Amino acid sequence: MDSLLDIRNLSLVFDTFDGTYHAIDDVSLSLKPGEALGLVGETGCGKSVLTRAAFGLVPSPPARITQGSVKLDGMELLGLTDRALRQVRGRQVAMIFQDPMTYLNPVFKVGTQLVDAIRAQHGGAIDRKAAREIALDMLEKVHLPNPLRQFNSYPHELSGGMRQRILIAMALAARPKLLIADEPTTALDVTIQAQILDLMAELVDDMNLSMIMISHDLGVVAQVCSRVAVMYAGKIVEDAPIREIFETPVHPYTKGLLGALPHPFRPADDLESIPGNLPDLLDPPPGCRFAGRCTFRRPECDAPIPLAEIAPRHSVACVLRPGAVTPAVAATKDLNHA
Amino acid sequence: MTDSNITATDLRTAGKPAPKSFRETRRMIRTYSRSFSSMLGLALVALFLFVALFGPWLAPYPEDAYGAVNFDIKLLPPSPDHWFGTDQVGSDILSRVLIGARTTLQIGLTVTGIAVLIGVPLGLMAGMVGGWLAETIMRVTDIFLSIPGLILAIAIVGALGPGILNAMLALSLVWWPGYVRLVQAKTLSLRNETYVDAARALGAGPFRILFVHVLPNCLSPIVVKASMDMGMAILGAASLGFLGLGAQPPYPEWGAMISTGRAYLPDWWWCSFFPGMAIYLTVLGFNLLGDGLRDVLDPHQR
Amino acid sequence: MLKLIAKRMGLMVVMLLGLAVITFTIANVAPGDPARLAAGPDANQAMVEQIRVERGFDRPLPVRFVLYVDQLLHGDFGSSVYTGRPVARDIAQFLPATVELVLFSISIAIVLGVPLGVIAAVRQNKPIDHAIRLLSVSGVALPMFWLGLMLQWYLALDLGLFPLGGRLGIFTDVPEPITGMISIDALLRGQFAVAGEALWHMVLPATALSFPALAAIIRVNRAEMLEVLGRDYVTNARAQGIGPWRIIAVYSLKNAILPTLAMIGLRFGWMLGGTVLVEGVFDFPGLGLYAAKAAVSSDFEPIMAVTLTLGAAFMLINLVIDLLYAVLDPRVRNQI
Repeated sequence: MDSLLDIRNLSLVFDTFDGTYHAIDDVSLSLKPGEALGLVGETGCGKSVLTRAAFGLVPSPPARITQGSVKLDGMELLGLTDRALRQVRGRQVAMIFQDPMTYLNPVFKVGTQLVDAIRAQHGGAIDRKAAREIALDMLEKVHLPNPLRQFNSYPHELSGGMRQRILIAMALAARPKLLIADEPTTALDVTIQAQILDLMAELVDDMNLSMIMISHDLGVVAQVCSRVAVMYAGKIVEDAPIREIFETPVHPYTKGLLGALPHPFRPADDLESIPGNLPDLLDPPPGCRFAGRCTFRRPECDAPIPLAEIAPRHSVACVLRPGAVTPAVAATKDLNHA
Repeated sequence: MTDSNITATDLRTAGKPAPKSFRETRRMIRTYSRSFSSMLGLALVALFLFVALFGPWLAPYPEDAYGAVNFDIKLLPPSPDHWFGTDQVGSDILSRVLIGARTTLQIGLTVTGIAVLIGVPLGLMAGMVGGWLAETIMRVTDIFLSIPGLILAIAIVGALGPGILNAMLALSLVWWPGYVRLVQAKTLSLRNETYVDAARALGAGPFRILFVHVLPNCLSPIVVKASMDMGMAILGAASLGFLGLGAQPPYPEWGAMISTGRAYLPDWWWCSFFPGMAIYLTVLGFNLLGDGLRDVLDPHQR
Repeated sequence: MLKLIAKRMGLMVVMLLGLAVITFTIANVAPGDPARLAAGPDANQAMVEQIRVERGFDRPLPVRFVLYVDQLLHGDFGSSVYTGRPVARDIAQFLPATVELVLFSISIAIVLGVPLGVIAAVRQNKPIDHAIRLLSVSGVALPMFWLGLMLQWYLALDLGLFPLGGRLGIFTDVPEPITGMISIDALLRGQFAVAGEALWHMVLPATALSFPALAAIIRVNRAEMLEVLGRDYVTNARAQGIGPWRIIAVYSLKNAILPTLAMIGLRFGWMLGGTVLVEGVFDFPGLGLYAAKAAVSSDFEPIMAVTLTLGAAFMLINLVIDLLYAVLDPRVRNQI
């Protein structure tokens, strides 16, 4: 089956006062129709930037895409005009974000914002009344009690969970093919978190959506997604079905993330953290970007290591992967470089 | 194990209060010097300070600043001899403008200085102490801020009588409430910061909190406001001078010079044009300087 | 809403009382004799003594303050040495002209300032932004009396495009007063040519008066727009595919206008003060010119009365601004 979304060799930099910040470096990622992918990594690893950049939502300047392509259903998105991108964003791709508190405009009623968004999704082809019908319908679909009352409320009158449901309703009103959910539950209480995750799983099923869920929490992703891509410092380091990530992780960083996951049968003080910080992306190391924090570091880590398939649908960028280059081969490679 | 020589670039730490490192200072200087308008402001202020310090030596006819009369060369247009022309009694306007800079600087420093000396302690008190004292200070401040400052200054000069000292006093008396507001708001917000709470929990006394945690963090906004206020105070004094309530002719004060020159418009335009340009460039300089300092010192703008 | 208005009105009364304390203090603590100040510089000793008894200057300070407030409450602001009339009558005569001029000026500042601020923010760091920035930094630094003089010199005297000053040409009859604001009275009476002439006379003084306010409004609105355009809800609106025009002019501006409103209120007050400078330049017979003349001739009671009047006007403006806040921001509205 063809991919719905196909990101190829995408690189993005930010031009800052201190130099060029390499936020995304040569990232490839594809998504099949109906697939739910989790994009996991710690704060600042570029996971949000990646998805936003793909749909033209990163302001430029300071951001600059230096190479790559982004295809949605076979159509190239990079280089599209703002107007064309807007059509894509409204109708084919929907997004929901981390903090529902700040993603609704405080001075307009929820209903006004829903109607505006729905009309924009339809390219202005429907009137306010029809948009209102769709909006109320969607509010019901996200299981909001008393949709009419929420419709006439201001954002500050609603709880975080309700706002996130409204944002989901807004995003899905256009019946998009792809939903990007950027840490949709991070800002919510744990109980509300579970409800929202259930709702999303239900909607993905019901509406036959593809989804990319961005999260720093493998546990959250595991509840909704079938596949996980792990990002570190602007690169994808491991990409595999969710079971394999949990059962046979290969990349030390993935293992580290799993070690940082709370587990019912393990005391909380046993949680491992990964020592160190992200490398300086103003001047990124040429080889593995995790090498500086890696327990298994060896000399060949300083040469570039591509993402390679080790099993069907399971790829890793690490010298430790089964069947990877031996140290001797790596050494000759190093010589060739020099 | 962990490689210690990897520099962490966590952008989130930028806002935290930390000792200003060398890198930080360098970044500030670079940010400031990258902005054309900030550098223009610095240049204008430097020029103004230079003229204020050395005006009497720079002026071609220094005696003209203090009422020398020379009727046979009155109202001459700008020429190589008199770059800015001469006024109705034959005084060289360039000399008067150059020497007037010192008066202007005195006014700006006095008014801003007194305003800071009154306003900052009151603001700290209102912010740190609370209770009826804070309430009283803030109410009085509110009342002062509820009248256009210039009007109140005119009322005070009206009571004291016209003159440059009274004008400075009047401006100082209407200028301090702004600092109370600024410092009180800043103090209140700092008082609730976690690190100040932590210091208090560790047993730091009120004076330690005041001098170690609160005052240093208030300095940046005070410096920025003071820089802006230098310009505004100069403008205020010139306004009083123009109305005839400040410096009295033939004292070389720019506002008073415009007022005198007004009678000689339109034919002898240079009498009021050049003093006005001097005010404009000086105030512009201080405003741009303040703007530039705010961009550098205020982390919210970064 | 009504509760808010009532509460604010109550606060305003307290503030006005505080203002009266300040004017009273200025009049009585200042070195010199308050009776002599009230009598004016040209009065002889007998007249001063008469005023001292008449106005109770021989009584203790607290009693005098009560007397002073009592007089104010009865609309007695004393009398002007310069015009020889009760100050209250002078103010009633001159206030409408000033209100008319200030309203016209603030309208100019808002109508130009808000869109220019938006344009500068949307085109951040582009040439148009730099041009607007030049305008706005100049605006704050230009002495408005000097700007007025230069405009008068060039546009009125040199080019003859505008009248030199005054409210109407000398051959034009002032319309029968309704509000005292000539342009509005003329409109109400259907004398459109007169209304136009009145507005035409206000163009230069209003330009000088509005320049600093225009500059300040541009600055604040630009900064606020930049801030709002970076907010999450704008990202979300863009992610929904809503068009840029609607995002800027509706979604962002309604948020950015709130802090701008505060600046508009503040500048409104400063404009009231600025009339003292500008009205004199254009011989515009308003409260500012009245105050300036009174101040130069040490005519004390008019100055104090003008201070109180303009202070009250400023407070009233701030009240209106606060109410507008409540209308525009639902979060504020709900707190009421």
